[in-house]
Amino acid sequence: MHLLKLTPGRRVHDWPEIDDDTALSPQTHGLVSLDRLERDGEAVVRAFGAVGVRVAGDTEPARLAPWVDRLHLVEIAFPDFKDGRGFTLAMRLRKDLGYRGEVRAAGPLLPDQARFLARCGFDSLAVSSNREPVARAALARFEVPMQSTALDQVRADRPATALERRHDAKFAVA
Amino acid sequence: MYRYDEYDHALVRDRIAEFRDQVTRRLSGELSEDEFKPLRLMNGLYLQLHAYMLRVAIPYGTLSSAQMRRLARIARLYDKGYAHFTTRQNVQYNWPALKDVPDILAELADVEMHAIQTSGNCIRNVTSDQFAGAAADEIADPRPYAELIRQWSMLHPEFSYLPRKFKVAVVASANDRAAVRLHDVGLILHDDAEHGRGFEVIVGGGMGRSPFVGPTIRRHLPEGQLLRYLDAILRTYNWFGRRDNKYKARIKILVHEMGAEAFARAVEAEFERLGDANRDIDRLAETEMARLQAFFAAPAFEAVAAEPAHVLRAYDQDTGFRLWMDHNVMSHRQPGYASAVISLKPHGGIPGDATAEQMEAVADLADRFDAAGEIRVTHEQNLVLPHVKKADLPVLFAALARHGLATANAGLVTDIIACPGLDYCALANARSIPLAQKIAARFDDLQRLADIGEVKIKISGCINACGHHHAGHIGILGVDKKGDEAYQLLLGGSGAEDASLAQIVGPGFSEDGIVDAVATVIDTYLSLREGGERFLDTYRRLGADPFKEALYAPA
Amino acid sequence: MPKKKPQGPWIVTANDLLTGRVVFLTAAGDWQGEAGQAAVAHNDDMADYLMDRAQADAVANLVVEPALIGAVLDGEDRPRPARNREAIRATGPTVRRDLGYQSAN
Repeated sequence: MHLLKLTPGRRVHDWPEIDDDTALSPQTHGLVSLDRLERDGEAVVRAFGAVGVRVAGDTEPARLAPWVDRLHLVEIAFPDFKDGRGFTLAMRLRKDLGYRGEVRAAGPLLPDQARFLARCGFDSLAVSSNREPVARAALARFEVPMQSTALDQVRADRPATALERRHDAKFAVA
Repeated sequence: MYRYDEYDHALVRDRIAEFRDQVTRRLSGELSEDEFKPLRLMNGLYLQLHAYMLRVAIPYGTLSSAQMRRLARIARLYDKGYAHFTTRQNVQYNWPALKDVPDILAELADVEMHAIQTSGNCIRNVTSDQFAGAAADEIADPRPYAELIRQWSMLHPEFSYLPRKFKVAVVASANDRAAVRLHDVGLILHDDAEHGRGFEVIVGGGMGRSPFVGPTIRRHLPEGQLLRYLDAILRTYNWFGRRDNKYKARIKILVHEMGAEAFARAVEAEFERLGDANRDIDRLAETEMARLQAFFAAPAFEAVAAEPAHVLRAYDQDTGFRLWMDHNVMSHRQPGYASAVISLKPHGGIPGDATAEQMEAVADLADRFDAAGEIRVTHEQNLVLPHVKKADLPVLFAALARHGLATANAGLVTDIIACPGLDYCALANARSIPLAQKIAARFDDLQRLADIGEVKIKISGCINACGHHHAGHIGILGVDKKGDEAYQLLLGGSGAEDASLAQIVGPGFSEDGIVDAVATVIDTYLSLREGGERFLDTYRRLGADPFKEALYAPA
Repeated sequence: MPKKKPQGPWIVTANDLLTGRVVFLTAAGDWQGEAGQAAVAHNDDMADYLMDRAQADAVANLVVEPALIGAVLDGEDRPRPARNREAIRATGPTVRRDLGYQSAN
């Protein structure tokens, strides 16, 4: 697996995964399941310099609400590339919960989905290295989106939409 | 009509490059069929019973003559010389090779067309009123709104992997010619002194194995908030829609299971959360609407006689022309103009099919006789020249007749909607087209058809209801009965403003039996109708009993 | 495609990946457009063998959606699909006799 950066500004790196039964020990950063976080929350926050959590794509956003200020990574695991709930979960995380840390996409996604992931607020995508060139190409396609998304108001680094380029002087192409 | 700018062109160009790459990866084995299938479907490409099938989007059913000529060229170069117009105002090719599809998409892009999102679990092509911009009863042309929605839905990053497909229809008149109550989202434009211009929003209608007439979840949505509200509906659906069972994954099931009121509350809550921060989107959408409306400005109509004398004379003297005028020519808001329905239901033909030569003939006639050089595709699988001078109607009629396109049966018994059925479709249980042909043969007398009046027969070859049998005044559903084709008869449906779902009348029929049954239903209606009642009115007044009796009583 | 294994004898059909056309697996191990040339399986072992070969060709990206279908044999032991659906699939639309395999183009 390789990590593809989806947003230009973000620094992304591998996170050590701590499974639910492993004892917590101090470390600079660690990735746990949401169940573990809910069980041992304060201890996890104390043990890790930076806390990451892995959630399923259909996780109720309210479960993440208590933690958003203390999380540095939310990894959203898609059960299937056709299950689009992960896109909405990322959107809700950023838009409704105001989460500012990294959002990572994992699971059996297609490299072709990189652009959609980026536009829904994902910063990184775990992709097999042989598929990385396709993901990179996908990321560069469809430069000017036809629609705004609910995220647009909270992201400065987003691409200007066709509507904005047509009608808003501040986005006009020189 | 709408014309692409650099952004539309760039999107379609990128999409072709992307699909070309995906086809290459499929052929090399880099993509498995399971991975490729959703990707090809989102480019309109199915694998059907005999071959691939490519569905091309005709946004809200509006085509230029140049686009129609290109569709004909594609039929000739890449297919078998014909194409099929569908109930969602699209067009399908039945025999393209996978390797040719990227080239076909490039041919389409030349004339500002595409096949994006004509299949798959995403937001599909937006449909509308075939008489938009011409109808006397419309509040405004609905197509600028439909175009706004089309652009918003194009490659939507959040809503391209929905639980199931998602279909939107827009009308702007009290007469519903787009079956809005049978769509995932139906929008009806209203304009009143109290609220101003806005939409009634209907969610969760549909046919298929669980038919519903959609409930209204918002009486009045200010027009400027349309995209934000659609965003709220789609987010609610994408999150809560069922993914455990594809037969329960449409939004109609969610609305039904949650209840319309609870669903409406969830949407309103999401809409509120989108709140003030997204007002810029509303403002931009309003500015964009002004740009779009300019594309759909009325063509330059001439001041001409409202009722030209030579047309009245032809009407009196030529029975064929009179029948065509009575049924296929619709009133227009501009004096001296009319909209002409070009029937793709010649008796003995295949409903919705047109040859490359016919498509080219229609393109030429649009250039000659339509004030905008436009053609429309109707959800009843016919074509329309929307803005024709009445003075030209006799010449147009004669020209159409030369190409087998002048059948005077719009809205009548033989104007049948039929899905492709088991002749083409991998899902079908029974054939639909031969039934339509047999019914047409049984009623092969235009004068008799005219006497019977408006009857909408709709035939589906399976429960998925692509032939809209639930919305038929007379609906026919093909089923598999131990390997044989059999047919159920339904009565009393409507896809119009008085939407209702047809009900099964009783035991099913064989192929010949169902043709007899339709004839029996029509005879029963003729013996019972009062005054100017349509078939549907008589059925609603009397219920199913007299028809059941005629169909099933021992002789 | 039928979920349950149909009544034998059987033949194996699929669609050609490149063109989408309906094809049948022959005894020589290639794929032809005419059902009459299909290899016939009279027992389960032969049916499994044919399907294994077909699946291998699906994995090799030659064909898609391979399926075992019931067949009936004519006087010269040439197979044709047993079910109505498969018969239409093998020959072409019944409403356009000028198209499909029957038209030989």
